[in-house]
Amino acid sequence: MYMANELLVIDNIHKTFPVKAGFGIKMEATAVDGVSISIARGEAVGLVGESGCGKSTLGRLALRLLEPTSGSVYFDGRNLNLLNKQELRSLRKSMQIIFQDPFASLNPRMQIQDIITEPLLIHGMAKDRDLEERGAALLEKVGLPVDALRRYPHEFSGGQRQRVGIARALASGPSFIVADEPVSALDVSVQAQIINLLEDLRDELKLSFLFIAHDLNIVRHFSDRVVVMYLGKIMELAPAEEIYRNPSHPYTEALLADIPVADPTLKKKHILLKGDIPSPTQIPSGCRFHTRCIYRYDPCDKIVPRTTDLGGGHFVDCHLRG
Amino acid sequence: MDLLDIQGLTTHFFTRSGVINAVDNLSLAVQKGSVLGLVGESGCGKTVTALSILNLVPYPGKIITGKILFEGKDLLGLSAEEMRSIRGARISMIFQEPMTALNPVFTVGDQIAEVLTAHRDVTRKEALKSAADLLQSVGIPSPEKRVNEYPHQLSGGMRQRVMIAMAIACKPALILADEPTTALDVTIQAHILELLGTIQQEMGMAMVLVTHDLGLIAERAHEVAVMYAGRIVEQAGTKELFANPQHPYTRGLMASIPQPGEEGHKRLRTILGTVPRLYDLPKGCTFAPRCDLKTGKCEIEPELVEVKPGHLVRCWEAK
Repeated sequence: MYMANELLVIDNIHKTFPVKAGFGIKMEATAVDGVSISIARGEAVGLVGESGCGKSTLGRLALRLLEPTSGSVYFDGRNLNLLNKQELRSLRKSMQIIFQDPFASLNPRMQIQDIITEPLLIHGMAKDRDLEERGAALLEKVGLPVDALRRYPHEFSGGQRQRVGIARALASGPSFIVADEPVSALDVSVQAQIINLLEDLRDELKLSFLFIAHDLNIVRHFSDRVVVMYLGKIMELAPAEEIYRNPSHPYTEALLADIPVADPTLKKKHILLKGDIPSPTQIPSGCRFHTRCIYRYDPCDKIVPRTTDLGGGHFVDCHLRG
Repeated sequence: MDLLDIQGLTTHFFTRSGVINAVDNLSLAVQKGSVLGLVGESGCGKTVTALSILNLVPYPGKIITGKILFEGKDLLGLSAEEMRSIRGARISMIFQEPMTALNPVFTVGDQIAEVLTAHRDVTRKEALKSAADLLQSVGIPSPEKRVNEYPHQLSGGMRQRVMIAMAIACKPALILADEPTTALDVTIQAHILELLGTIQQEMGMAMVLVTHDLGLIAERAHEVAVMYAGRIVEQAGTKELFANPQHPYTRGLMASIPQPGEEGHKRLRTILGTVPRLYDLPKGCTFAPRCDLKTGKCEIEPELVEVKPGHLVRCWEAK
């Protein structure tokens, strides 16, 4: 049911990719396997998970940068699947993305000014003669000097390039941003700067975020709610503080326990999961986490667990904990 | 005697844009059986330091000066053949990206066997058998099958285990681990670190752990050296470093990590500015432009000074 406060609603979305296995054998990789999330206006939802969990794919599906295999995405009440090219393009003013790799996401042959004001040209939001002024304003918002406008990406550090990427995402005045691992490629001291910047912008411009990351500490810092994904499905969803204080799913527990902590006096006990992450072409039966779960018992490899509402906005998919 | 004693190592890169002073007059010692953490951000020189130890610095890099004493002998004075007998046998290295470090056209069994046939008097058949045993010891299931597989058939975590197997094959005295888990997921990282810790203890190996992750350092290193722009800016035992960080950079690094214990939306503390370009280093203290405690004295580069027994700091303001 669509509620007016929900800006983005992802409804039972699936995405599979065909994979050639050699000798003409076709296999399918299930990247996203029935995910539903809604993001309210002004809310930041953190999405965490490890390789193959589908978080990047989900981020792209949210903006219809990828076509879903099935399921729908509603933005501001409108079903993205039903929009034609023009309508989708027009809607994209309001929904933007910040990419992970500051070295690959900026066109090396374009000056900064052109990179960050291109959205304005595409959407007919500014004339040529206004671009320099709009560019300068955007750079100021992200803490870059005005003389950067006429320079090229290679002249900047990773953190500075990421600021350019953020400026570009803000150009069209979006209400929703997908931030796909925006700080993973940056040094620790620079990560902090970029996170603070994103927080300031979020407060000032009342932005909603889907914040994708593998670093649980950063996600906690930035998000209102956190979603944990594994092999294409949501394992747990809860308010940010709740998921850190009372993780319910064994996978979430392991993710939290396995983060090395910068305190030599704390003898942190790491949870060592069994085996490796399965391939998305061979999703395990029943609860897809059962092959690595230290609490696995009878139903786990046979029955897919239902989502249990633990109260307070905390949901988990687990036979043991549900 | 220290197992490894680096004295005054200086490594430069001669590029078209200028000379990059990647490692500048660096001195470090590693004791037998202990773990030295080398921590810093990109471009600080930690990887080049590790590569210099094994004389593997790529062109256009060159070791300009210094001594690298391993078990008393200066590695930089060895012939190419003598150095080859050390690499992989007495000192080995684990690289950051397992996919690019492993040869894609050879099976993992062959690659491990190669280490053994190069340094030991064994036949290929014997080496392949040992390779399977080594795969077992690093926790790879069905090793007899895996021995015949190629790197692309293995996951990232498995490839890293293969690299570890190659590194320990000849029971080296010292392992250089260059960001061994950066490319891996956190649950796999926990396994690999556990494995390295077990091997290190069982075999009495020393390790230089190069990383940007202070959490890894806290958990695994006995001694830590913090690097910035090619120099060591602070060095101490791990507990001491975390309890009493003296250098503003070290403090800044520790403060900018979001800590799991913290609640609510407190703003992250940051270090203003960015790491300087290495061919454009500021005169005097290289960290001064970003430092809150900067004074006039900082126009002269501080020396590394022992402020407490075993705790060295490169800062005029350190007590």
